[in-house]
Amino acid sequence: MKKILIELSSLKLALIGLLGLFIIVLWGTFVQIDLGIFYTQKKYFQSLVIFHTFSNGIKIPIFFGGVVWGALLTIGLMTTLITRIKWKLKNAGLILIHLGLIALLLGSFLTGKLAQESQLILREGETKNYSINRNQPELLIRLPQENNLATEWVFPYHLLKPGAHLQIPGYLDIHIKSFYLNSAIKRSIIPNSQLNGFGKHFNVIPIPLNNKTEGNNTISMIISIYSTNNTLLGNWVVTQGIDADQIVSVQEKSIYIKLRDQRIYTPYTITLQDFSHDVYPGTTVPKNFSSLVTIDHPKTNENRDVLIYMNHPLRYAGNTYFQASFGEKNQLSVLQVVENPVWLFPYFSSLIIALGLFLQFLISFSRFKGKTS
Amino acid sequence: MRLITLLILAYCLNPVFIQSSPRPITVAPQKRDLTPIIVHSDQLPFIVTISSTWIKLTPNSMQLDRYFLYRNTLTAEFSISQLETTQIDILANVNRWRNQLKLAALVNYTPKPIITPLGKAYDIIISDHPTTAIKVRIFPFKTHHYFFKFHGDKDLVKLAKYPTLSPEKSMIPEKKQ
Amino acid sequence: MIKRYAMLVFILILIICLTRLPKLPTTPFNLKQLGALPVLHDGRIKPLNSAVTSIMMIISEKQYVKTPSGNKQLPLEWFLTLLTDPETAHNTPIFLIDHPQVKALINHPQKKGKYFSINDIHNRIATIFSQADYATETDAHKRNSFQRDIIQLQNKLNLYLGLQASLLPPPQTSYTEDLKRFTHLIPTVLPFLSEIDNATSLSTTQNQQLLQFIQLFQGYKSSEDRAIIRFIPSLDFPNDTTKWEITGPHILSQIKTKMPPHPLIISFCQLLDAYRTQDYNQFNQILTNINTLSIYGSSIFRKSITEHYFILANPFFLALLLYLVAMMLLFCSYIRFPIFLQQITAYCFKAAFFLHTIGIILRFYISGRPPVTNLYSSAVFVGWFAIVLALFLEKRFKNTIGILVSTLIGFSTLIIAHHLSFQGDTMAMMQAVLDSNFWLSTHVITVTMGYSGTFLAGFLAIIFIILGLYTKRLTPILSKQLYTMVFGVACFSLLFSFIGTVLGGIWADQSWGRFWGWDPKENGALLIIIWLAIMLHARIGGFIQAKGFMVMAVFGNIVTSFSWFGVNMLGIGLHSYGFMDSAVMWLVLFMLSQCLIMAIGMLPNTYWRSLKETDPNNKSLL
Repeated sequence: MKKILIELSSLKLALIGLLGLFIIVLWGTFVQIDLGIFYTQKKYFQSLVIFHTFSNGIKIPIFFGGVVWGALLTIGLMTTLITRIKWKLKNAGLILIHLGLIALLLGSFLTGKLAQESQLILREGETKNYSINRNQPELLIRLPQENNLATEWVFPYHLLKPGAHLQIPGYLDIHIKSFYLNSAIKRSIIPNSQLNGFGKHFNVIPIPLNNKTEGNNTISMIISIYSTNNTLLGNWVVTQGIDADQIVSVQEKSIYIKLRDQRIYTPYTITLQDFSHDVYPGTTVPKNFSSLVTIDHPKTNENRDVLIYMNHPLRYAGNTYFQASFGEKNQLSVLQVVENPVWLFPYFSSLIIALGLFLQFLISFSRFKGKTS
Repeated sequence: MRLITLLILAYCLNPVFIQSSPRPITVAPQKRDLTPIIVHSDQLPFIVTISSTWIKLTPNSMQLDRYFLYRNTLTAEFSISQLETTQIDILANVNRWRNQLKLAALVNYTPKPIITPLGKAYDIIISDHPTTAIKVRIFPFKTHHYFFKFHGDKDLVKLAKYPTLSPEKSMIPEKKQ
Repeated sequence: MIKRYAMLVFILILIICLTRLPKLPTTPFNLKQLGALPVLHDGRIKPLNSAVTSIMMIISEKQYVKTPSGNKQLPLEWFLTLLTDPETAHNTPIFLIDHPQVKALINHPQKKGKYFSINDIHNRIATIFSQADYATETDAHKRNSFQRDIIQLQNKLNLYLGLQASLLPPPQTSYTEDLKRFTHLIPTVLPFLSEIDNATSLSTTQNQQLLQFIQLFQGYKSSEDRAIIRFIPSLDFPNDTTKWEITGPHILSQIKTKMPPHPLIISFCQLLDAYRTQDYNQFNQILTNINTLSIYGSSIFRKSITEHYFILANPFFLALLLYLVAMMLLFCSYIRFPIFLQQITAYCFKAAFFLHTIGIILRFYISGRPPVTNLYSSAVFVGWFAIVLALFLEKRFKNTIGILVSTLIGFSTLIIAHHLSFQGDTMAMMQAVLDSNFWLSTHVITVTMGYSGTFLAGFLAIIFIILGLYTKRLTPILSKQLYTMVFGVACFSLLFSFIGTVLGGIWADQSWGRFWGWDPKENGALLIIIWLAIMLHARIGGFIQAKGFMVMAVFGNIVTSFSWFGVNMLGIGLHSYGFMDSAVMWLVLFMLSQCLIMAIGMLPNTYWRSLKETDPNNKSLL
């Protein structure tokens, strides 16, 4: 046991970990030119193994991903703390650095797992209690009821895989026949006989993934819908490219289906009062963007105005709202919403490391001074 | 060292060979407010609530909004356009639409007046063509005339319902100064 | 005695260096004073001379043009010619066009050289604009050289036309006369403007007046969309840059306000008239009579005049020359006359460092920003701070290595800055997200200090390798000292790079909602940190000796240059505000040179002259 610990804590292992990290960071910087930042993160930094995919679809592993190198370094750091560094005052700097680094690595791993990003898109005057995430659309099955209420079944993105079998007890069985990560939508002249709904009038054609900007892909699926007694009701196409409901009639009830951007609901609403966009005088260079919003939280009896602008996000109820973009002649504001329960992690760990580095630097400096004088 | 490497490799290769078999999955239903689809146009002084099954298309330069609707193999288009005038020659417009369907012009035409929550309007149906029809509601409001127009397969156009109009822009309050 | 001679030589060097500075033209017109007048250009107040010079730099990539009659014109002269004698200006070859396909497009195979006048390309302007519009549809970093150059040419044309429209339209009789007539015509013409429909009722004189008025009106109106420089501060709030006005529309606003024209406009009219008639006494008299303090407000005018003289004095350029002289003298001193030459070196170096420091402080005063806001200022600051560090080392070790490396770094970073300065305004306004003095002065400064550290360590390592390989000067004592220096500096820069990167993470968390996003610039900073950690761990673990440590420190130069410039050249990511494409070759050359040094640094000990001849078996340190 001790032997393993010592081997894990060896500087050689630390060096291997650091070199591995160096290589993937460098590599992951260059591939961003073609792959875009979103997919680079997934493929290089938040993965165990980096695969190379050949044109015929065969994947071979070529290098370890960020998670492996991060884990290797974390293990190395932990074992170093246990076996190598003597817990003495003169090593305080070193101990703090290593402790902080462990926290930093763990924090970034947790952030990758737990953080959720979405967008709140508001027109001036509009009120919403949800933000959307276009990257992970969800399949919505809705049964309208009276009093403006509806029963909604929402199948989240991770369940939507080709071959998946989704069930709404008492109403429908849904089989996902095909799943396209990106697709183009064209009007068809002759109605498609195999499809129902708008699939009759629109062709959905799979196209290669667009890596450049995230959220620019149009995800589409072809689904078969069965009634509960296993009779095929037909095939439908659902796509992010068409923002409209389709109706499936079951037991004389109209059930609405739709593939929509993932919605993340909040217990409060946000209203955009005003968006403004300032430029430097005599130029078109933006100086500031800002959104004046009203938060209305009935449960906590809060109703107040907040100004969100560059470098000044709104942190509220575990979510952080940032001014991200705008549109429609400054009538529309796009707020980036980040829910990251571990957002304080890097702050604490960097504080510890900075303290450790500072102590270590002081110790080395005094030694350096002693040596030369 | 070797053991760790092997274990990691084994884990990584795993998804390549093993595929999970489909099992029926279900989720718990939730109750939510129905959000109507509303046309947000600064050019419209009232709210238009569009059916959630209509598909939005890019309007051409004359139109404020344009939608695609279907029922099985039948299709039609719905568009909203406006004209800044208080006087309108209905017969000329009817003949313009008749011309679109390659039908002969009429000498006179009496539109059917109807009453909407926002005031008086005229309904026009051109259904002389064997397969295609045009259905228009002309709606004078303040300084403008608004046209709500269906154009497409006859059976669908006949059945299609006009979207509901609500009188005020309660959804869009005045800007705070 | 030696000191006195050294001082004498130093003063001689200083005088020679001063003559190398670019000068204002020697005309009887007081252009120095005209150039100091504040104007609003590219979103900030700057002296007229800077504005015009930066526009000319973009159009012609030179700081002077040659008129068809062979006169050399500096920016301000050219500007005045453009306004008062457009015929000459339009025949002056100023547009730099060197792309063969762009040249082919403007049909000038018969014309030699790469400079064209507006009259040369006059009848192809429509083609240029349509081609440029077409090229704009391609993504910025996917454009080929033709597309980039045609868009650039379109910008140049816009600047040229914009500059011409910025002050006053070409006069009908004279500038002053036109303005007077326009002001007089307003009350006469306004009453019958409302009855313009029944033109028959106007008398012949009234008709003429109306015609004159409309002509003048159109002249002043024409500048509204095109003007790129605003000359007229608000009478009541000169400090509010949003209230500065374009000359033409301001004159037109008299129709509504019924106020007399702004005193500055009257002065400009008189100035231009005087320049047109080449009456320099009159010209200089009017300039002195402008009540600058009350028109512009003291703070704006003082900053503008400081910037004007700062640019004329060009302290960084002077420092660049002095660093170069100091470096060469120091090299010579290793061969002959060590004491005398090192004394001159010390003077030169001190003067250079003084100018370098003063320059940074003045830029801080003028722009009201922390020292690092863009690539240009980062180059100036990286050099400056590396020198500060090196001076600490010199104070401790007193072996002239600190001075040597200082002059080397000072010279190379200032030459980089000098070339970066051609890309446009070095004090330009910041993109919205960067507009935060707090983060600029914490995150950006610490990261830049980290760059300084790694470069210092790398250059010290280069000195170690060169001295060891080719001379016998790398004695065991010196090599021990150098090793201690590099190790210390590496530790220091690890500290600063780390703190800087973490501060950057906090800023990113504040403005984009994530602490870390694997953006190229973030990755670049991380690479420096990882590399320094690798260096230190490899040395602590005994995997490498001093020599290997030096080679790794040289690699640190490559990593840092990649992080500093390389990632900006990828043209991706949130941080790519300073996009540049001309410098790629230089960066690659620099990296290759560093690889070469690393390669020779890895030669076995038998090739190292210092080691061979002192003690071939001594492997205690190396």
